[in-house]
Amino acid sequence: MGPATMTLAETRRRIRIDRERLRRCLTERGIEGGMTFSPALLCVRLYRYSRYFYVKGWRRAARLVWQLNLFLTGADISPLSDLGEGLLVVHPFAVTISGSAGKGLTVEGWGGMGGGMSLEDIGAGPGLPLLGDDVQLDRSAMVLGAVRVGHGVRIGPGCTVVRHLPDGARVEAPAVRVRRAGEQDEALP
Amino acid sequence: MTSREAGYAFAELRRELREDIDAYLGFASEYAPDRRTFGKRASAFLTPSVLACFWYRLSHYAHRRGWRRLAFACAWANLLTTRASIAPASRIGGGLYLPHPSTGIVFQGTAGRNLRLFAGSGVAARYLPMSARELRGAPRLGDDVSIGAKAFVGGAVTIGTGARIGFNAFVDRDLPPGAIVVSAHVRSRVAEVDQPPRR
Repeated sequence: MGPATMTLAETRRRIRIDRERLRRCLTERGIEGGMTFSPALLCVRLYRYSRYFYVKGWRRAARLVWQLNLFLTGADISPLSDLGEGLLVVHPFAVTISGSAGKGLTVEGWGGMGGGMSLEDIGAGPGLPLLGDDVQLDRSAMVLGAVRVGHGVRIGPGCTVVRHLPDGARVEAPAVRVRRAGEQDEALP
Repeated sequence: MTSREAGYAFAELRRELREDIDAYLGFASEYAPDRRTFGKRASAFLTPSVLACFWYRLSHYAHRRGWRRLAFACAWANLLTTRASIAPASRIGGGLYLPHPSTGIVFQGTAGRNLRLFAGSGVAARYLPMSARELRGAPRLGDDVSIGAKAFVGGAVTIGTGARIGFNAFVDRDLPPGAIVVSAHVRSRVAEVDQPPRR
């Protein structure tokens, strides 16, 4: 379940790194600004404080901030989740995160991670997944159950993972077929 | 950046919003044909579908005038009241139809007239937050495009006029006009059901 202590200084350090990560997203494309009103930043910040309150034992405050996050941004990030610095949630609405992850987790939107059918504990809580560093969850991708996902794994749009994945694995999005009216189906490469 | 982009008058906003309401009433009349009275239009305006369009149009108007804070305030109001995330910088023609905005619709890009975004669909640049002031790497959609439930169009792609993207499809490449995209997930396998025990 991660560290037993979470200081305010550590919370702020993580928020600073999260913020830098979001800024890089914009500056890499040559876009200036766009940080002040970002739901992506607000949802991560609220999660960090709810986590801080939870670890400190202020459960009601943690719950209040978690609920505020749910109301304002639509992201359901449990304060029980231990997520490393550099967290990026691009479109927070309908994102659910329960479990643990290392540094640099990216969640594009409409997905996340959470409990499966069993209550086995592999270190993230009963039935919850344990993700390594630099894991990327594309839109509508989900990791469900007590599974270990290695470092640098990328899970494609619309994919649901319910098994262990080694370091560097890539889970591809389901294939699509495209056709024009009156033409035969043509499989996309 | 406070530059003011020309070419989006308030009259245009009203015209596009009227087209959005007409699109909504057009779909509604498929189920219950009715005359389009003022009361019907007012009632349609208060539905989440049209409210999401209204907030987006207002945020885009403010964005084009260079009023960035107001633009994002409207985008936030949209997120809070209807749960649709539509970037103020997006350009969408009239006749926008969002049947279920509360399912977390995301739009960030440009689109022509009569765009239809069904439940949980998304059109966005990859890993670019909604608050970005410019749309670099975002999709460009033609007129009469339909994005199915849970479908996602991501990246700097061009989708031709009249393209229809089906349920749960992921599109990250250009599509010609009139293309129909079907996901491999359209068929579900039904597990064999155990027979009830005989007594």
